[in-house]
Amino acid sequence: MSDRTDKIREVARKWLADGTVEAVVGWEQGTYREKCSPVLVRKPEDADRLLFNDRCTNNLMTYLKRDPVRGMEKVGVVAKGCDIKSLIGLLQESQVEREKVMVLAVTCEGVKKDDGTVPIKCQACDVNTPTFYDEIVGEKVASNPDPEARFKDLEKLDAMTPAERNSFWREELDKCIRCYACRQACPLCICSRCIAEKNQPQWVETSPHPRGNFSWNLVRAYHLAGRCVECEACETACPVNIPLMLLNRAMARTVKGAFDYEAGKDPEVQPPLRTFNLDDDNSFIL
Amino acid sequence: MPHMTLDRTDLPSLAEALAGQGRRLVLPVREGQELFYREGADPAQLDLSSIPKNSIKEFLFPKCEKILEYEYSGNDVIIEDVAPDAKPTVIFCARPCDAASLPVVEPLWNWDYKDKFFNERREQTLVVTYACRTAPDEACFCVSVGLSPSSDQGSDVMLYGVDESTVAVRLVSPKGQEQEEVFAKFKKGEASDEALEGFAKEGDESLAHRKPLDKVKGWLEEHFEDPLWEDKAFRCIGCGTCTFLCPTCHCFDIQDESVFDAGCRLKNWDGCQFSLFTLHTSGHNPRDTQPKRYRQRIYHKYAIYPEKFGKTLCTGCGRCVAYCPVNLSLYDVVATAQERAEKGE
Ligand code: SF4
Ligand code: SF4
Ligand code: SF4
Ligand code: SF4
Repeated sequence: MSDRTDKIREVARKWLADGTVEAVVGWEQGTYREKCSPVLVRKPEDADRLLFNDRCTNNLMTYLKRDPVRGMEKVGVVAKGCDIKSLIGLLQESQVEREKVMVLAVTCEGVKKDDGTVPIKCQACDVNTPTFYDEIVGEKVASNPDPEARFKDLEKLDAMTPAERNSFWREELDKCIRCYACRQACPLCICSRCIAEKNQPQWVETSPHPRGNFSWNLVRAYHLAGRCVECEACETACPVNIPLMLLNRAMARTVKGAFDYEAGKDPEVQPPLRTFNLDDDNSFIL
Repeated sequence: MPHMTLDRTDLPSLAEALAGQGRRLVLPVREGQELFYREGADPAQLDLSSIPKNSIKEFLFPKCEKILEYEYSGNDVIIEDVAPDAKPTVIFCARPCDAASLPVVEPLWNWDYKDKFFNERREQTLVVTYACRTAPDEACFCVSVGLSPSSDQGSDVMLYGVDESTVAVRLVSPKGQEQEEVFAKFKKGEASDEALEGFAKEGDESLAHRKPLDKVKGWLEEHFEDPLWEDKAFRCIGCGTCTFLCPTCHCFDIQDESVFDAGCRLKNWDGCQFSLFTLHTSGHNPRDTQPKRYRQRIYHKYAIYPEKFGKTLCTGCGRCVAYCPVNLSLYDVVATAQERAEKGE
C-alpha cells in the first residue's frame, strides 16, 4: 500500500510541476478513526498529502462536476477501478471532457467500511486492476471471477411476496429524512437542479412522510437505472442506513437481463435507457 | 447528600415503570453496527455501549409535522389551527450532549414567537440521562464547549453507571424529583457525593486532549474571508448529514400540500448545507458555493447564535465529525480557528 502512496505522490508532483494539470484530487489522511478524506492539491510540494490505503472509500469523481474542479482546464484525479466506472458514465453523458481529466489509476484489493466490513462491491469486484487510465500505479490485482455474486443479496427480496416487499420498503423508506446525502454523494446524480428541488410545479413532495419518501427514493433509483455503477457512495452516506444498494442492484440486474448492458464499462457504448434505435425489441408492447 | 443506587440489570424495568405512567418510551437500541434512539423499542434491548447515531431532536422537533389545515371555500380560505401532537414522553438514557441541546435551543423556539409545538413537547418530556463514564467515541468534544461527559444540563434525572453492576441516581429538576417514588422502588443502596465527583473527574480526564474553544468566536469575527474555508470545505458535498444528525441544528422549511381544495401546512427539517436554502426567487444566491455554506454552519454555531442568545449552538456530541461522509471534521475546523487565534494569526 505505502508503495502505491509513494508512486501516487510522485506522479502527482510531476503533473503539477510540469503543468500537465492545475490540481489533483486525491485522498489524504483523515482525522477520525482511520478515515481518509478527499483533498485538492494545487502545488507540487503538497503532493505529499496524498495517500492510498483500504480506507480510501470516497468516490472522488463526484468532485469533477463541482466547483472549483469543474471550471479547471485540466485536473488529475486519483481513482480506484470502481471510481473509474463512474467517470465512464460521466463521459458517456458528456458531463466531463476526456481531455480535461488525467486519470491516475490505482490497483486495489478492496476497501473497508467504517464498521470494518468489506463492501459487497469489493467482494465481487471486476476492476481491481483498472483498464481505463492515463497512468497506473500498483501491482496487478486479480478480480473475482464471478462479479454477479453481488446480486446474491437480492435473493431475500426475490423470496418476498409483492405485499411483503412493499412493507419491507415502506418500513425502510419511512426512515428517510430527505437530507439528499444519497444524491449528493452520487457521482452520477448530475442534474444541476434535481427534480426534488423543482417547485414550479412541485413534482416530488419534499416532506419526509411515507408518500414523499416513496416518490423521492423511486425517482432517484429510476433515474439511475442503467446508469448506476454500484459504487455504493449513496448507501455509505445515508445517515439513517437505508439499504439503497438493494434498489440499485435490483435495477442493475434488470437492465442486464433486458439489455445485456452493464454501466461503467465502455465509454463508447450508450446506456440503453438514453438511446432509441428503430430496431429495438418492441415485443413487450401489447 | 447520599444518592440512591440501583442494579444495572433493573434499568429495563425502570424504563418500563417510567413509561407505565402513560408515557411513550424512547431509548437507545442497536440496529446493525450502530445505536439509534427509538420510540417504542423493547426496553430489554437497551444498549448503552456508545452514543446513538441520531440525536433526541426528532422527539421534540419531528422531521415532518403538520402545523395547520386549510380549505378553500369560494373566494375564502378557512384556516384551522392544529394542536401539537405532543405526548407525555420519557427519553430514557439520553446522552448528556443530547440533553444539553434542549436548553441551547429553547431560546430560539421562544424568541420573537413562542413555538407551541416545541414547547408543548418539551413540557411533556422527562429526560433521564445516562452520564458517560468516559467519552464513548473518539469524536466527542463536549468539554470544549463548556459541557462534560457527566453534564446535567437539560436533564431531569441523571444516572451514573458507577461500576459494572451499579447505577447511581440523582434527581436534578423538580420534574425529576416528582418521579422519586418510581426510582425508590428499585433502590438497592447508596452512593456518596464523592463517588459521583470521582466519576465526573474520570469523564473529564478522558477528554483532556480536547481544546477549549473560547477564542473561536473572536477569530471568526475577523476571518469571514480566509483561505481556511476553501481548503477545508472544498470536500464538503453538501449532503446535510451534519445538520440533520445535529441535536442543535433546527432549520425548517414550510410546505403546503393540498389535494383539490383542502390541504395542510407542514414544517419539515431543512439545512444550511443545501444550495436551495438561500436561493432567492431572483436567481441570486448569497451562498452560492459549498465552502460558503459550510462557513455559515460554523458561524451560526460559534459566532451568530452565541452573539444573539449567549450560548454556543453545539454540544460537542461529535456526530458531524463521525458521520460526515468525507471526514470534514467540525472539531478540526474550530480547533484550527482556536489555534490561529492563540497564535494571533
Ligand atoms: S470495488 Fe474494486 S476497485 Fe472498488 S474499492 Fe472495491 S476492490 Fe477496489
Ligand atoms: S441519504 Fe438516506 S435519508 Fe437522506 S435522502 Fe437519501 S435515502 Fe433519504
Ligand atoms: S455541531 Fe456537530 S458536534 Fe456540535 S452538536 Fe451539532 S452534530 Fe454535535
Ligand atoms: S456531513 Fe460533511 S459533506 Fe455532508 S454537508 Fe456536512 S460537512 Fe458537508
